[in-house]
Amino acid sequence: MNLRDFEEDNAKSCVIGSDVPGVTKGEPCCLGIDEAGRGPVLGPMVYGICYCPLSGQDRLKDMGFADSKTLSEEQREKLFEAIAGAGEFMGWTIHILAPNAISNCMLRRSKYNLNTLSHDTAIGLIQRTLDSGVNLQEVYVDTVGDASKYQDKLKGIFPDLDITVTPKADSKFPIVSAASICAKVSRDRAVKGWGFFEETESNKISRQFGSGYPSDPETKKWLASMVEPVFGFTQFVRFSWSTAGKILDDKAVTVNWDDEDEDEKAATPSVLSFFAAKGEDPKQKKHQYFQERFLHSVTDFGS
Amino acid sequence: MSVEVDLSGVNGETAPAKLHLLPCEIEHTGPAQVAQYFTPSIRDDGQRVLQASFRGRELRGGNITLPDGYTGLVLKEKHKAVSDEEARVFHASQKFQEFTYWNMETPPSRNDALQKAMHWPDISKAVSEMLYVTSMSKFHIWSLMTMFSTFLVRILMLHVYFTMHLLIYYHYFSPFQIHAPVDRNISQNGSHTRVKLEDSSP
Repeated sequence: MNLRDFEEDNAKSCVIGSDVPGVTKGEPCCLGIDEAGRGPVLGPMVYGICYCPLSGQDRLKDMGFADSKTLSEEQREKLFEAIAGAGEFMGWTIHILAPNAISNCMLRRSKYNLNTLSHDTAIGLIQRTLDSGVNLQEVYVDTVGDASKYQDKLKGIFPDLDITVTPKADSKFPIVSAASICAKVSRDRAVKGWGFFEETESNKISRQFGSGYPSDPETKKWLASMVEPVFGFTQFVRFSWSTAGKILDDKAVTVNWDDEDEDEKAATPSVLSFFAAKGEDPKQKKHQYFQERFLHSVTDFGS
Repeated sequence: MSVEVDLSGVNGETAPAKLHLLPCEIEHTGPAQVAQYFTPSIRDDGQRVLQASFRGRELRGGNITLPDGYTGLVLKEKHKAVSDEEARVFHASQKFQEFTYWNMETPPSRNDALQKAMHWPDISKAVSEMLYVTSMSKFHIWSLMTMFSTFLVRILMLHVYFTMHLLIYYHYFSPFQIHAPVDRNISQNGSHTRVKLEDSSP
């Protein structure tokens, strides 16, 4: 697996995939989907898919796939090598969601939550596999949110596919386990090799960030220690996580966004305001032309 | 109360200031690591829309060139005037002819208040000339940027060490008052400026 495309610009999400094995274009295939790095406040979230002919599933079992979380890093690396070595019958694709892309999505004005982002990424990967000519028949997905709703959503989009969405799919289906290994291995590599563009000679960034989970004291300590008063964190951090937000509230300068004001102004005015004397003389009011452009006459600088 | 601007700090060799106008108010005046944290996050999509992130939020931006005849100045008030009678003195440290402005998520467009406001100097000039207002003002500093005070506060500044202000310095001695003492309706069509005047004074 070569993460070079992502490492070139780790502020943007990126899709990387193996060659499509010829056999998967002919024989009916199954596909597994899993993700890695959903919980951490740091680094990318990675979506992985693996696919192979239905007839190859026994071979998968023999290769020893299991839930990637129960395997050691070493075992996962070995299994990933096995996937890469089985290129004649297995294909894989990963979608790396950059932490900056996750923050951007979740902090948008119109809400776009992590579950929707996950669903859309999975849908994109299935579509991509179909587009590459793979004869897909069965799809197994580790659930995000409510399994039956997610399954209905996927079936609505891909009515010709036999789709199974279930919790713990990676321990039930070897193809999902293989997908979870692709996701987990690439997430680990991306985190390990993270290039901090904020780093300079005078501004060294420590790599002692622990597991990346918000509950990890080492991660919390790292977050608190690296706060830059104006900009907050490096883009390695997911600003949209409440852990990150709380640390910024405490340690960084306050930033008031234009759209936050709007929400307050939109609140229903107090009944009293209808009876109060109007403060401004309407004749003094600026023409709409100036109001729209925020133009005011001034005779002095602000202090 | 008077205002003085000391221009001795800027000359032809002064590097132009690189400025970013953000769609938020940062409760901070002072230096910031713009070159480390912000500049490297800027991406150019090749279609004149820039993309960046600040505090995890997506920004879309573009460059704005100042209207003809105007120069932007980065000003710094080294000492606060203690009384109203004392003149306020601002020292210019850098000049600029353009700056980058950022919207939240939406690409910059001609409908943005800031872009539209930049047309005002042309209109104002046309209005003044049509009215033949001849009252002389010896030295007219028209602080356009301060007029956008809501925007101004949010300018993220490089190399800022004290209280700083921005203004646009009206480039030449203007023989006209900018503001005509009449009510008027101004309409503007496309890139051509048409000014309609309705004198409502008795």
